[in-house]
Amino acid sequence: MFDLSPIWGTLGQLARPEVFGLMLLGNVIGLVFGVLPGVGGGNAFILFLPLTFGWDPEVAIWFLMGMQGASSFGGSLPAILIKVPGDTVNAVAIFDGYPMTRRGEATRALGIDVMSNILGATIGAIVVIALLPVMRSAVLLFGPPELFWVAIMGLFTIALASGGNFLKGLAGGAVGILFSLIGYSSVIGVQRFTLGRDYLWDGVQLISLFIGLFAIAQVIEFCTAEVPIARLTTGFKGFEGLKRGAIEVLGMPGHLIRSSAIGTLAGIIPGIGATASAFISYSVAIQFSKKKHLFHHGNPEGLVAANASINAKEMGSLIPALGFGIPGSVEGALILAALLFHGLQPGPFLLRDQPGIVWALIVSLWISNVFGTLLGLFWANWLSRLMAIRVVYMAPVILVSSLMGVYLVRNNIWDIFTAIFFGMVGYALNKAGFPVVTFVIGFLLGQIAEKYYFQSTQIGLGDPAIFFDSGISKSIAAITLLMVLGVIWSGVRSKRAVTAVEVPS
Amino acid sequence: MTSKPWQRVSFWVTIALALFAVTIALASLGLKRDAKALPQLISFPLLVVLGLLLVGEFVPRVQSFFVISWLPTATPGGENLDLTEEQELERELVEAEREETGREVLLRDIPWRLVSLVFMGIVLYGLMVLAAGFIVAGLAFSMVFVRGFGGATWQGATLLGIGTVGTMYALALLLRADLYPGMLFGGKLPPF
Repeated sequence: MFDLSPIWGTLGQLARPEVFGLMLLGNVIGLVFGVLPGVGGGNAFILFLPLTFGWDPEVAIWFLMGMQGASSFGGSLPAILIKVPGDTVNAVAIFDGYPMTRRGEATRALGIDVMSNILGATIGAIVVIALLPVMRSAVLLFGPPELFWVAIMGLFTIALASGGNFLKGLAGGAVGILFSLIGYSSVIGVQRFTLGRDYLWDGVQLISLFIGLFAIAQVIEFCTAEVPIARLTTGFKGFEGLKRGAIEVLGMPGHLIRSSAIGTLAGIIPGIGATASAFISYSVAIQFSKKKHLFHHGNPEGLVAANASINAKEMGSLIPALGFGIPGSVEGALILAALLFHGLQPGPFLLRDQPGIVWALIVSLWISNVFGTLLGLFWANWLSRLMAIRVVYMAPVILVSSLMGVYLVRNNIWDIFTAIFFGMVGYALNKAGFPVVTFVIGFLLGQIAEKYYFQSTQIGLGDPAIFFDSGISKSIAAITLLMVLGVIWSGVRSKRAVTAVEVPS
Repeated sequence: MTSKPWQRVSFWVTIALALFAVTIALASLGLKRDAKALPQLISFPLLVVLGLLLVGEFVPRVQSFFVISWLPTATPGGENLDLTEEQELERELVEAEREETGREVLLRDIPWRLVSLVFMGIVLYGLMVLAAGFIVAGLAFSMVFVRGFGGATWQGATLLGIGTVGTMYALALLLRADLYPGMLFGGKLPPF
């Protein structure tokens, strides 16, 4: 029988006022940093980590996890309200969150956001606790060829999930990959497409691309279209809307459990980002939904799929970090940094020698997700009033703070011009119907795909058969192909059905 | 689609992307084997995809084949199955949203003068940061922007400018980061 007593023991730490207070402080910091486009919770974590020097490690973990747990909810708020995601992982929340805001259902969308965050993290925590004893064998099943396929599957699912013209989604993703190849590749050891400029040796910075495509393009759109953010009002206002949205999530157990499971799995497998996992969950949610036609137009199911996956992924990322000392993701790397900073050696022996720390990490991340989100709930109603502000007043604030966020990442002033360039690119892509989200994800997946492609060919001594050696590789390739064929077939079938009804009339 | 392909924004953007893909494909020819594998693996299929999109601009039937449609299948009687009043409302809202977002944008739909003005304003802000740093540029840009575009009073514009820049400054202090002071105030340019 699984021994749950360590969990209760760890939860008991919350009775200590300093632990509870520091966790809440971490939540507030995580929310604030998460809301700011381009700044993100990761920066908060890095900034405040040195402050915890000399603290009791368990207390420090509660504080740091408090930030980590709340930042993803913070990032989803601007994504839903003004179509500017706080972080790349929140981009998928735009698909259905922003259309809901535009039709006057901002508080309902935030209610859904809150509840799916909490439940996603909870399901993720349960899965992590259950898998902890067997995690080693599960993680070792995924080598470079399998991870290469996961990246490719991510690209296709994103093109499918972005809706509209599949080819445009795919083209956007491919262009994103090509941009990711600019600069010096440490994997291959060569520089590519730098045009002889020193600046491009480091490649295009993700933050510049991200802020440009989302925040600056949106500023241009705000100023030229002069449209209000919320156009229609349907009556889901204030706490009534929040309550309604939160209750709605409970009526979608299938989407919730499925997306959380995908998110947790994505967290466990090193190398898959939270963004890719959110898109895969979103795509799978479309396949299983009875209201497929509402996706991209404010379907609550889409919002649930994205948020549950992101929060469950955070929980899942604890497994490779704690079990092997492998930073499977940015979140995992930050957690490892925190452990090392406090003199703890992550890896297989941590669970045996320091079980209290392991449980503190799992439980504190889960509780922080719940508390951070609830704390955000109090803001949510107030934040939804932002929609009443004229967009021309918000535009300079978004622009000035976003470009400052771009600069602060590595103190290079040229990065803000890169962001401005991508702002124009984003505006043009939006007008032409190319989903910019696939562009960003392509950019992210391009780096992952090339790394694993190169490693795989090295392992296979150049033989491409390496990509189909294992059962997992074959399965992922087959699933990718089936998904593409399935969606195209589904589109063709629905067109035929509509035509069949239209012709006699 | 009743418009000519060259009247649409999508046509010109597709051509621009194709030119980019061709440039990458050609530039990758001179790279060593490992380095050119992925650029070519991506750029050649991308050119095929963009070619299909261009064909679709002229032959809408080709374009429509790749449009993923999740519209509910109509029943023989033409009515939708089991929609409650609330679902009907949701459907109407979705239709309104779809009509707005699914429309082909033509070149003449773009307010070119305004777009140029806003874009030049953003570039000018970047140049101001370069010259005078974040604080001065942020304050000036916020004030002029809300005054020029939003018609705010000078007092309101100043208040918003100070608020924005004050928040930026506080955040930079918190992050222990130095905001770029501008070349006029001793800021150095990194290599380009």
